[in-house]
Amino acid sequence: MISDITSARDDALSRVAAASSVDEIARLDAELLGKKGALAGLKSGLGKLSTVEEKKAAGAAVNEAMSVVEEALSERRRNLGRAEREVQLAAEALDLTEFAITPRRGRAHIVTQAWERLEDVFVGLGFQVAEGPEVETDWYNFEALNMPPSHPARSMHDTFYVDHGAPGSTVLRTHTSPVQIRVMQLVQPPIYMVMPGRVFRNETTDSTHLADRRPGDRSWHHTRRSRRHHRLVHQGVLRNRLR
Amino acid sequence: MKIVDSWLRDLVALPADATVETVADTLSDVGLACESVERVGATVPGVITARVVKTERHPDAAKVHRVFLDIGDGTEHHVWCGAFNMQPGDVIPWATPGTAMPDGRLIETKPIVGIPSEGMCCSARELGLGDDHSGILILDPNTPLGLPYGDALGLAEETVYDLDVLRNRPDAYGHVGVARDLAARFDVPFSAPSSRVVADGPTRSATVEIVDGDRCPRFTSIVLSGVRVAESPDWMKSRLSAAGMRPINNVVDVSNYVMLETNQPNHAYDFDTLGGEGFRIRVARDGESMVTLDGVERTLTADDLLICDATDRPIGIAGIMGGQNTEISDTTTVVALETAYFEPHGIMKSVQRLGLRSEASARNERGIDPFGVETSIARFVELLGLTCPDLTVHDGFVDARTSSMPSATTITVRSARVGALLGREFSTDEISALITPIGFDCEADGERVLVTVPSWRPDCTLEIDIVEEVARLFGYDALGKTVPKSTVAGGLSPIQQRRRRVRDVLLGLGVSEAMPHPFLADGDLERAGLSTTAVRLVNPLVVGDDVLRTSLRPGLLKALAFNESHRRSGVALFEVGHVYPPSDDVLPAEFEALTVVLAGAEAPRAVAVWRELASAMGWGARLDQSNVPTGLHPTRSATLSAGRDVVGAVGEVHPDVLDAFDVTERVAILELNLSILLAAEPKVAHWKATSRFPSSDIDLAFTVPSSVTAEKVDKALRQSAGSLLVSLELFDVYRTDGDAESRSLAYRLRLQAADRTLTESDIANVRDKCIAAVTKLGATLRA
Repeated sequence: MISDITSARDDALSRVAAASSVDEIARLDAELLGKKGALAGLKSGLGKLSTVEEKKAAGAAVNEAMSVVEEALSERRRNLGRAEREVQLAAEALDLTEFAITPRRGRAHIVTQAWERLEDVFVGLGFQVAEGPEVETDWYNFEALNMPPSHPARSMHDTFYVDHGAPGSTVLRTHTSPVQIRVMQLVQPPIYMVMPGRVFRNETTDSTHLADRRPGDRSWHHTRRSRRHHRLVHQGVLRNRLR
Repeated sequence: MKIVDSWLRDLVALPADATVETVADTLSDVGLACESVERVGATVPGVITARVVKTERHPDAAKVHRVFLDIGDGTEHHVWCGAFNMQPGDVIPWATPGTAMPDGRLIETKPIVGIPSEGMCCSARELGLGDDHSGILILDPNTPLGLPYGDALGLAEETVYDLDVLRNRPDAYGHVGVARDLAARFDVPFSAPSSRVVADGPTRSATVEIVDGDRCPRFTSIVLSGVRVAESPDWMKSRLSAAGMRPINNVVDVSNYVMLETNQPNHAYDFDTLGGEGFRIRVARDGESMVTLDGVERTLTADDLLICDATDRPIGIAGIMGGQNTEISDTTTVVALETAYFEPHGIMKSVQRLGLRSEASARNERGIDPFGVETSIARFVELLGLTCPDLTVHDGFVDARTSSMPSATTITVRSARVGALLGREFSTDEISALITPIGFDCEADGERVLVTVPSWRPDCTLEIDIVEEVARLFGYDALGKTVPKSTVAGGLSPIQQRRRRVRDVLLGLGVSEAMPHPFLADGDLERAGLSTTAVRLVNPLVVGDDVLRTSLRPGLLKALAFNESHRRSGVALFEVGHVYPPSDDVLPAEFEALTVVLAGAEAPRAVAVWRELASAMGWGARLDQSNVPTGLHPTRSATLSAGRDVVGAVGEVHPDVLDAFDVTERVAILELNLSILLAAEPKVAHWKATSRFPSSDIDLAFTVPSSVTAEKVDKALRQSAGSLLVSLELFDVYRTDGDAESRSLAYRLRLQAADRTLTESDIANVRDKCIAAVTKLGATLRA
């Protein structure tokens, strides 16, 4: 009996040693240690032994043989697994400088980038941001701002007039100051607001001027308690905080 | 406004240590923003005058010839030169070897075909004298030889301040006005030109008859004889050139010089050609015409004011431009000098209507000093006398005034108000001390100051105007800065935050932002398949570019066409901007729009962008393919509606429109009304726990008639699956060739319960309900 156990064990160990893949180990595991395996068969034959001593000795031998085989299987599995992973890693090698198709983000317009930074500076100072229409009435754009009909800024030289309503009643806003008026009609002081926005001046286009402008210094307005505040906002803030 | 440094320093005794930089900074600080300081008339050292003796061609050098030069000292020099415009005898500027040219070249002696070339003959552009580079600059043949060319040309280096003079400073269009401010700020004497005119000849007058007194409050005339038309002195020519005016002759130059100095336009008429020896000022008759100095015939209306001679013949458009018929000529000896004050608004309207601008009209329409006439005449006489030794000023000065002459404005200024606005206390004494030097007459009255505005400052009409003067002269720098302490919480409004989020989502989807021009050309809307009803500009910058956009579509399609023409295909762009559809209201029906265009993509890409935006923003809308906006692909587009509002459209651009814009790729498009969508309170997303129990999938494929939308199937499946549905995915769409009636849609439903493992019967139940609901739509389950 003992010699059967030993030979079954040795046979199992030699097959484990000969296994060449993790998959094969899995098959061997089931075959060698499963219910139909040689060692299992010997174990079930223990009952046919006559003496208790024999049974004890043979049982211990079978258990030991099974645990030796189990250990051999797991070691072989580890080694094969490591080797297979290495083969896989080597096979998966990529040249990361080869990129054919890349997902691309969109780009915000440079004016938007500047605009949002400016807004954020004023938000940081406790300002809110107000908006208004780009096509304005003469009243909001000029009259309400103490620019009577004879004011030179109202000449065609600077203002785009819009063919809407009575002649001369509608303009493309030349500044965002009309938003100040609209805000003041709606909101009770204190008002801390900036009015960024697109403004229009009838000027010849060159590298630094486009008839349609986005906010420049003239378009940033806020209600001022004093001229000193105004200066701070115009110079201090814009110069120092936008670095 | 160009202000010449040397001129300024004649008028105000600036401290010796006031450098150009100090003056520029001070000008900016008193509110006359100095945009740049230019040095003009600088000459290149080492360039001298030389006479061309002879020129010689060489068989081995076809592109150049040898120019032999005489520099007056007996030595001979020869230069290889690539310009052929000079003849023997011509005097030209010659850069001697060793000269460093303004463009950085160092002139050296170099051989060409073995013969050394000494120095270089120079063009006007090479010497910074203009843009002419067509040939070598040819000088006056009588120019002495061997002189620095600057001396020969009478060039003097001038420093010019380019000031951005705001509309409320009409006086600063003259050197005197600028000098007055500087004198006050530097606390140095200001030497205003004298206003004393001494008549030294017998009485000789040009009569004045003002017919339309409201348009011409004051008109004066004085007769000068002994005029000899000649060249102006070099210093005057150099200052005029520096200030941007071309020297012409002594009479014209003095006229311009006086205007640039005193800000008072004037006009000298040839007295001998002045019919009836007098002036008549009246509005034009409708349709009346005259030829202005620039040689253009102008047709006038009753809005234009005319200067006529005493026989009623038009000789000038008042305050804007003189006529050709009384122009000063080389033989002029007697002139009648007009110096007048016209009502500014009328001049402005004429200028606009005629589209005729001049240095004079720019000043007259802003408002000049109605009482500056005498100074201007005195200066004219003084300066013309420099080149006309026999100049005689005739007695018989005519000063016609009407009841429309402006009267002095008096303003009450409260010192407390000044303090409140400027953030610093100002006493009445301080206020007076600051503004008296610039001509404001101050009289203290307790805590108030009664300020009389000088006649050259018609812009000052209110207390706030005086406050500005106080701030200006005190110095904005000196006022200091304080951090405004906001008492409200700063921040972006929910709409502004949502707008930023929309941008972020689109950028993340790979769409870039564009900002095309908001004005469209005639026909752009029609090409884009849109209604041509639009609001137009009255006075566009470019004729034809006068349509205010009603949609962002044309601008973006132009951008795609531009990209395509530059071999950039597959461009994805979006724009967030206002559009201005017409309305019967006070203002056009302006709203904020968003348009996304995806070149080289089909409609589903645009739908995907919409779905992603909708999910990020919590927006919802129905796709209605039965209602396709014009200009979009009729079978591949849909209107997006939320409730009763149409919030946009999605799909593809109509191939006709693409053809019209020269875009060859397909273009997927999404158009949204952000004014509606951003204003809506978005649905709030809720967190849900992940179930501990396993999920099960059901795959269902249906043959669905083409008339039944996937959206309907989707809806039926969701309703049938009820609360057990975790996700629904349309994972396959399959069309059999030749079958236009139906297609196969395959869905995967994932079911899961929060409180239990689903049983076989739960799943079968859902499956049956789903099949029944979809079958009811006319679809059949595929085996």
